Amino acid sequence: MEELDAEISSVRAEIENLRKRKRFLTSSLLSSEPIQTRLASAKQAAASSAVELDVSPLIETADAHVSVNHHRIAFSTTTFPFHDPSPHADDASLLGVRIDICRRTGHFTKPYYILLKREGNKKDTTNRVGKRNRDPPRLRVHRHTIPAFIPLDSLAEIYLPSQAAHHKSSREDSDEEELKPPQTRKQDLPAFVREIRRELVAWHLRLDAVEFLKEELAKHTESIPAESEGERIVSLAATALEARYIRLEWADGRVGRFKVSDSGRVERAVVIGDSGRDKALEYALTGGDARVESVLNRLLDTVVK
Amino acid sequence: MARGKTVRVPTAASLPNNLRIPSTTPILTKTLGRLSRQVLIDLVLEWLDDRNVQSFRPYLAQDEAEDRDDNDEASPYAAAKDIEEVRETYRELQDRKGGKREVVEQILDGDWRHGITLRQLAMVDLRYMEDHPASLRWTALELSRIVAEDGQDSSATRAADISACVPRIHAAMFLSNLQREVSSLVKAHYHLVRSKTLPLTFLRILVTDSPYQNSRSNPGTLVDSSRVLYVAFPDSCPYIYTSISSSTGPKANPRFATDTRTLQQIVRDAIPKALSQQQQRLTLKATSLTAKSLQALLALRGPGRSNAANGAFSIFADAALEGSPLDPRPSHTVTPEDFLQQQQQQQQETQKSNNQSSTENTVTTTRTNDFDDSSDSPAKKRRLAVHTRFGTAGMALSPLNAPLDRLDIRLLDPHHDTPATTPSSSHPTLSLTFSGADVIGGFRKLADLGILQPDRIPAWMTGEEAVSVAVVKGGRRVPKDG
Repeated sequence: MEELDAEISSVRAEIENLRKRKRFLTSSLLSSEPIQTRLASAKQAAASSAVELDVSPLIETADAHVSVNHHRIAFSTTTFPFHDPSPHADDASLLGVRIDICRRTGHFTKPYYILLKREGNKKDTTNRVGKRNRDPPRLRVHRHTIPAFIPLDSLAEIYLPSQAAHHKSSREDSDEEELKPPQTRKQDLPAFVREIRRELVAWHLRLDAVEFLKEELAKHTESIPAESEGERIVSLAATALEARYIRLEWADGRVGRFKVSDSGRVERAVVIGDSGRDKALEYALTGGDARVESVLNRLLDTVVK
Repeated sequence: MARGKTVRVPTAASLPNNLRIPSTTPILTKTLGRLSRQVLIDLVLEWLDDRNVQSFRPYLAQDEAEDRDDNDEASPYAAAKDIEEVRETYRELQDRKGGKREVVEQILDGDWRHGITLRQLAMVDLRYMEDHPASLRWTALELSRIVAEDGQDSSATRAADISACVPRIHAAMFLSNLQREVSSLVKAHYHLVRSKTLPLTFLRILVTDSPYQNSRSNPGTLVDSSRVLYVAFPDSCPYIYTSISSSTGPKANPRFATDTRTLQQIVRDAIPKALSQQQQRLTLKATSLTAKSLQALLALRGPGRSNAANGAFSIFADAALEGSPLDPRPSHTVTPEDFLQQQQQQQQETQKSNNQSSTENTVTTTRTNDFDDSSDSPAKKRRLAVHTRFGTAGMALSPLNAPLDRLDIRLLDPHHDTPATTPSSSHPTLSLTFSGADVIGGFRKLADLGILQPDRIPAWMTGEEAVSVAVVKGGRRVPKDG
């Protein structure tokens, strides 16, 4: 009986997998270049001959989806509208910013999102409508999926200064506020998103570098001569999630750590053994071209030389 | 062998790791008995490990020879000759079935009859906590920078702000700072350990007494669990979690009191000071989140993606809205469950543990591709509405599941029957408390069953605010300081 159940569930799983595969292939096929070009030419022909063209909505959406995907791949940062479903939201339409980052393996990470909300109360809204061309709507970060160690709040303070903060600082000249435009700092959404993306990409590059070094470590340990067994690196790992510092541990008990800059250079390094600092290794870590990728080669040179 | 009488001098040092609590202290049996037999034996074998055995030396035959003249009563447990023999005893216990009582007795009356050290006790407590993640209530606090009063930041400090938004915590440095802060007022024992299962570092602080009182006369105070407080440091985020549930901010104590709460308060107030560095003073801010599950705290106030994207927005945190840009499937034809499963499978593949059974388990067998078909049945409409409001919150499959065990809401809205034209009358407020294993998950189920109307419930019911205590007006959360 149990065997039968197991068999049924495995067959079900198989069906589910095949169904998924079918859907995957269908969408690939529908969004492929030949189909879409033929569709476009058929549409043109239909338009000229005024014949109703019966196209499945699936094909239409496939086209739209492909173009979104192309934008996401090419520009890495894309925007989309989002509707806040809360019935109590004062302004339900949100501006979504989507950041796609490609990893070393060629996979894309989960997209990062920032959802921005228009700032201001009802009065401001009427104002804004009146002179829409001159004043772009002021935005503030409503929800986001940026990890906590990326300084989103401080960046938002710099590039998306809020109206409320301005009001507080310029309370004394409130009389003139109605007459002339307030002297607020301009919001710079592109710069804000650019900085956030820069931090995210730098983080992923650091993560990639740690992974790369871990792979290289196997080769490195092989090329260490047997007589200098103590020079073998036994562990290499990032000290924390943000992977700004990398910790090394040698077989003879020395430990070291170095800081990786946003551009992938070894900025600072310290190696401490039982007899104090190991300056030679520190120079090896930060010396040369100081690239993080070639750290192990430089260390190997100090051993073999 | 007449030993010189020990001279006791009051010191400001912390309680040493090797301070032994007499194994005859009755509460020790209870403390050790909280662990299961298997875990207890594991722990003992960890004590007897070559790296640790110096700190946790068991009672051996040579000790017995020294003690013979001042201790006449024979113990039923023969002292072991060397450490290997002790290890063998516990390995035997491990292979054999039996109650945990015999293990506890073997420890207290046998191999550690000379006393359990404070460090051993701390390890027992932490092991219990790891095995019972819901045994404590944790409060999340935010570490925030104290900005100078004038608010005139130079651009140099601004730049420093950006690069270091998360305070770096160096454990040994932090402990010595903390000790310096509290030593004149509090006598304590500190135990710092990395969690085995979660990205956290636990600090267990046993606050015994002020140094002006003699604690050694009563060893029971060293075992008293009400004197223990825990602080957990999650990786890479500006939050800490504590097991103390008192209000933030230093309370003015009119007179010097040495009850445990005050002492704990002193320690808690010292934590941000100990974490501060020069030119970078930190303070703790309340974040309105208290929960039993550390998993929930990590999801809502942790290093990950879901701190500021919950409830309806959890589809973004879980990336269940759309696939990678290389995915040819239009996103509305793929269920969020599929996206989550796909992510799980990718994770499994990267962990190189792609055994057949685990992939079979993640496949939901009942679900068909009903996102495609255009049936407008009310059940399906409701399911879509629930999904719109709750996102992936409260879904079992979601990796960011954050069960809140308690949700306190204070409603400031005026009651419908009272006319709003009388400003003199006091505003009646309504306090709601929900408790259960997973409050938000429960709301979702109610909405699934059609008891709650998914399109009309306020955002705090969907977990969007990510708090466990909130003041609500007009369906929206009112910030505390506003």
